[in-house]
Formats: sequence, structure tokens, C-alpha cells
Amino acid sequence: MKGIGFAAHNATADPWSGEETYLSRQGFVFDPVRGLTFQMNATAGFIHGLLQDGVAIADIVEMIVRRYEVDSTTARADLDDFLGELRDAGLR
Amino acid sequence: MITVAVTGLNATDNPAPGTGVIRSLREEMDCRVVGLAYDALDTAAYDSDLVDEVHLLPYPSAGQGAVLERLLQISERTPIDALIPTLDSELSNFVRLAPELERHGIRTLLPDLDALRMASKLELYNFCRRNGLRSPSTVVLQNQAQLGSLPFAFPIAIKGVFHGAEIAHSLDEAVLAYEKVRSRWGAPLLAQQYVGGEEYDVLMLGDHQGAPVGCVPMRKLGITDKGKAWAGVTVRDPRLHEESLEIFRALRWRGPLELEFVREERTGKYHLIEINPRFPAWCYLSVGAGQNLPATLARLVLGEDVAPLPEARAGVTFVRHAVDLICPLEHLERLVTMGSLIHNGGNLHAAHA
Repeated sequence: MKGIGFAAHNATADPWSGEETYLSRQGFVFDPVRGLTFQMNATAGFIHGLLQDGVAIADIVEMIVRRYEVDSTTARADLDDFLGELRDAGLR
Repeated sequence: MITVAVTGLNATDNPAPGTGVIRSLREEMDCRVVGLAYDALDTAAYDSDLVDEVHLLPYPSAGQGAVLERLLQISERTPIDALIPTLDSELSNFVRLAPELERHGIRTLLPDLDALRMASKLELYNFCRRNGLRSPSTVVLQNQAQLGSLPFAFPIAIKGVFHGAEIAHSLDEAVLAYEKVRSRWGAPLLAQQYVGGEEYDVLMLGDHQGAPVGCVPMRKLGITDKGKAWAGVTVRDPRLHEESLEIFRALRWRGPLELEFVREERTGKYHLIEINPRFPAWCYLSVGAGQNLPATLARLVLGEDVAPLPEARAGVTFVRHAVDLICPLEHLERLVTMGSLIHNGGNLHAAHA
């Protein structure tokens, strides 16, 4: 993630410093620069975790296909939508 | 124990800042709090956890002489060490009275009249233009007819000089808004170009030299129909922080002030839409953010040296919560008939003298 540094806080580790975007295990996101909050659903949380781990987009598509039993075109389209939403929210 | 007097005790749907100021003081200081009310129904007057005693003041329109006389009368009974005014309409009186109050041991930390004028809604646009700060175009309206020849397009905001604001999307709506605000708050009014976006407020505090010692930025999460923040969360945006400091330095402000910004949706740029020359009602959030600015102000007023505070924590949230206070009829009676109500540790008989 670029811009505000989406080095998401790990809720089980040290207390959140307030400097990076907050992301809880429940998928609750707080952007400290703009003061915006989001709630990710389970799928979004799964994908976001992969993005954070630096997994390549093509590999994420493959994992979505396996995990959610969809074809790769649908998986890629859904992933692009999600990435767009993250960008719109200033989170990517 | 020091005694701090605080105004702005009416916490209704457009809450005055006094309650937040006093709660903040109570968090950090062992002090006696004298509440100064303008009306017997000012709500915080009846909260004995907040105020130790309450006294009615004459309205600011009664003039400096009447206000001074009453304050000295109160201070003779309960010597006041520090005074924190929190209402726009009373500030110019207190700024003018500050030297005289100081001679009687009542200390304040207030901006000078020039800074107060520059920050006023009437002058804000010119101040911003002179200092290269982004602020929506604004026209002072002496009459309703001016609405037909504004140099910017609708939508616009129609604002009172101290209070009141309405958004108008057309000339018809603007005329209605003009009459609504004028009938409630009086003329002149302001027409301001409307900037669409999210609202951010920044609470700042300046020391005796006008140098900033604290800064708490907040995004409004919930707004009432009067535009008042009912919930908010602290943020940490270096750009907002730097722009706030720039404004503060231009004003060389002593004491507290609130900057109101809109973050323009299209460009992400901050536009200064208003300066409030006092604590905002949400100032208790500063305690949660690690910068107790009301208590810091009291320390400055009392002559302590205060270093700039560590940066405010982001992600601290407030929600405003209304409660009903139950109080005996005698409390209302005392405030109405005697102009004073002593809750804690005072001499009630003396208070009535």
C-alpha cells in the first residue's frame, strides 16, 4: 500500500500508534489521516490480507478461484472492483 | 486551591463549550469551579459535579461596566484566580476588561482585539486572501437584494456573524435562508461560496506570546441539524496540521481557538470556512487525545511555563450524550431570585447577601 502507509495494525500486537491505518482482525479499518472508517467483509479481509503480504495479483486471483469456486474472469473482475474501492477510499 | 470561573454553561442542542471546559479542568486540576451563567436555565448550573457555585452575569449587551461590576462582586465573595470565557458574543467585552480584571487578581489569556477582528466571520475572507490561505469567497450582506448579484454560483451558505448558517441552492432558497438567519441572529449576514466535502475542525491553543502549544484535529462523524458535531474522531494529517499552524502564526493567537475546514471532495484541499475564537463544545476530546487544552490554558493563565504538547493521538472518538439532571425547585429559585447558587462548600447565606 502506498500513500498513507497501510502497514495495518495487528490488534494482538503492540498498542496502535495512531500513525498508520488501523485494521483489526474483524476487518474494521480506520484511516487516521482522513478520519474515515470502513468495515470489510470476510472476503475483502481475506484479499486484503494477501495484498498486505505482498502476494501477486495473479496469485490472488488463483486463490479466489480455489476458495470461492468462481471462474478466473469473475475472480479478476471482483478483485479489480475491490482494488478500485480501496483506491477510492485513499487506501491504495 | 485555585478558583477558575467559566462561562458558557448552556448545553442544549447547540451546546456552549463550558461543560467540556470544566470536565477537562476536573480531569487534571484540583480547583474550585465558579460557573458564570446568563440565564437561570443554563443547564450546567444544576450539575454539582461540574460547578461548585454558579452566578448569573448580565448579558454582554449590558456593557463592560455592568459585567465588570458583577464579576468583582462575585470575586469578592469567592476570589477568582482565572477566568475562561467560552462564548463569541462576550469575548470583546472580556478582552477590553482584561487589564482591569487582572488588577483585581482575575487572570485571563485572550487574543488582542486586532486578532479577534481578523478571525471574525466578517473579516475572515480578507484575512485569508492577505495571507494566501484557502477560504471560500465570502460577501458581507447588508441587505437581501445583494443575493441577486453574488460573484459566485449556488449553492451558497448564508451565515450570521456569530451564529446560524443555512445552505441555499437557489436564489429563492437564499432569500428564505437570509430571512431565517437574520430574524434569529440579526444583520449583517454573510454569503459564502459552498464547498462540498467532509468537515474537519482543529482546536488550537496559543501561549502568552501567541505561539501554539497544542493542536487537536478532528473529523466530524455525526452532525445535528444545526451543524453541530455530535460525534467525532481525532485525525493525524500532516497537511491539515501544517495549514492550521500557518493560520495560527498569521493570527499570533493567545488562548484557544477552533479552525473549521472543509476538505474539498474533488481536490482533497482544505478550505478554511470559519474561525471560532474560543474553545469548541467538543474540547473534552482533547483530554482523550492526550492534550488537555482547557487545563493547559488554566496553567498558562496562572503563569506556568508550558512547552508545546506532544502530538495529539489519532483515532480517539467522542459521542455526545444527553442526560436529564434532577434538581430541587429551590436551586432554580435561588438562581432566579438571588442570581447565585452554591452547590459545594460555600456559604449559602453569604451568597445571598
